[in-house]
Amino acid sequence: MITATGLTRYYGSFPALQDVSFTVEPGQIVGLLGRNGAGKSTAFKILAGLMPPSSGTVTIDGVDITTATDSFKASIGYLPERPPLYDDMTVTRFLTHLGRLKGMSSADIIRRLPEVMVLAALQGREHQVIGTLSHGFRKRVGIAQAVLHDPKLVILDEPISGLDPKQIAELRPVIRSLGKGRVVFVSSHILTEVSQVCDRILVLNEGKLVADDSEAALASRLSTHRVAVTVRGEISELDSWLSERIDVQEHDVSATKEGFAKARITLTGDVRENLVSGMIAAGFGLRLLDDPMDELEEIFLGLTEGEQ
Amino acid sequence: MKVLWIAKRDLAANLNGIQGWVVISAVLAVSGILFNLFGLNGSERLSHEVLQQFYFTTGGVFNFAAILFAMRSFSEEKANGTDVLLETSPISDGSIVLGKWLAVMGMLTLLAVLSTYMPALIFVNGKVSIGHILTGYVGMLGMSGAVAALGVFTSSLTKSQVAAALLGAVVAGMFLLGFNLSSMVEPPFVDIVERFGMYNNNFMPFIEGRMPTRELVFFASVIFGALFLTTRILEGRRFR
Repeated sequence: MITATGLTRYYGSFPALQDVSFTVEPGQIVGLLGRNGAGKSTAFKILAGLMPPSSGTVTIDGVDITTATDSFKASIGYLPERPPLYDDMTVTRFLTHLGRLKGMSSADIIRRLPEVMVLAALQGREHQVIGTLSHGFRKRVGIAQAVLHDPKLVILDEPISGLDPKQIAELRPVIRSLGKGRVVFVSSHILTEVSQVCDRILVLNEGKLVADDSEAALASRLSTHRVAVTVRGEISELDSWLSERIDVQEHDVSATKEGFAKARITLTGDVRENLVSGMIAAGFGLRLLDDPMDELEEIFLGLTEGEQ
Repeated sequence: MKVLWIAKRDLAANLNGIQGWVVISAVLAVSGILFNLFGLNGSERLSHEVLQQFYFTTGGVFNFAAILFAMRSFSEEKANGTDVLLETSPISDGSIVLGKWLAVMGMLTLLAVLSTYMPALIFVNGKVSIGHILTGYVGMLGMSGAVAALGVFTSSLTKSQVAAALLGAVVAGMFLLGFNLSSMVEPPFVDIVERFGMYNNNFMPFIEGRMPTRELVFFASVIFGALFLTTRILEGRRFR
């Protein structure tokens, strides 16, 4: 079990992290969301033992890693955004070297290597020189080094950044499988990925923890009902029609191509069906009705804007 | 044991890549040319004088090699982001620093072994004692080991290998050529400054075939001091 209590970190007089507390049980994959500068990297560095907090504690199964000796590092696996790899080594040699640095015996390394190759989907690449691997496979080798020593806590900082959609889809089950019996922290700028991979989401804003729940629970906390519509019709007509409706709280109209207009609309409640039927009755040719943004993104923006 | 794994990794990186072999080739070529110019040519001289000339010129070249081998120790890890692998492993900072220094010493030892053909050439027309040869190598490795430790230290200060090498050359230069500054200071400081003349002061007895404990302790002190400072630098990173 990982417990963070009152984590605070100052850079000079700037508070990068302020009184952050949470508890995570083994088996949970936790997404850490936040805008640039929200404190995600600082939080990860503290969890990885790379930096002490200015105040507060982090315990892994009751052992405070902020005051423990280096031995606690054997309980942690860390993958920074840029995978730290020795390009001149083969995958097997690299992982063997890392195993030794982590304090594993030769027998443990020999036993664990095939398991990790399967876990990180690296079969067939064992003897390939790392410098010749694609970006996606480099990420997998990075994940393999993070879990090789079977740590209790795995920290993946932006594990899917720079990957193409196919590589992301291939990496998703790899990340999900890491959660068996251990705590996994994942940060990502691709918010939909967090919702597909994580059981729980922590949202940081300006160094403060502003939310800690499942995606569904977080969504229920926000009552905004937003839609985006594209219609055949004039902008001015659509603008005046939306202005007259009492169930429209806010709207923003813009042109697409000649004879068509689109609007981003905030409704007073879940009255989308009334809006659509009214729109058709008013003679607008409805072409597209969509969420203006991804639901998780909406949660994220709602929480961080709400704080500000 | 982890110290040795770190050293082995760095040694392999030097030997698997072209950079290490370029330095080895360059050092052997330059020291060979200098030995030919100043040791084997010119007026007739005694065998032990030829050997002393070999150590005098090769010792200087070895110091350059020490800086070039050491410059990548931490700079390259930082530039590639692989320093995280060491920092997140259950290894003390002191062990990491020692492993890095041992790797440089491994390269210098390899270089020393490859350079033995030059003293061996003296046996073609002359004779020197094996003890004198070994003593000279001990001194050369002691001095270049101290320079290597200074190079490892400057390597911990920057991501740039070039900057680390330049900085290392400046710091090592102050130690090696400290005696040149002695004329610029008054007693009692002149004695202190002269002690830092590693090349003309501490290394000279080894060239002459003597192995004073005092000079060995001096080299060991420089090595310990530089590696200790490097360890403090690594520890200090966490609080930035």
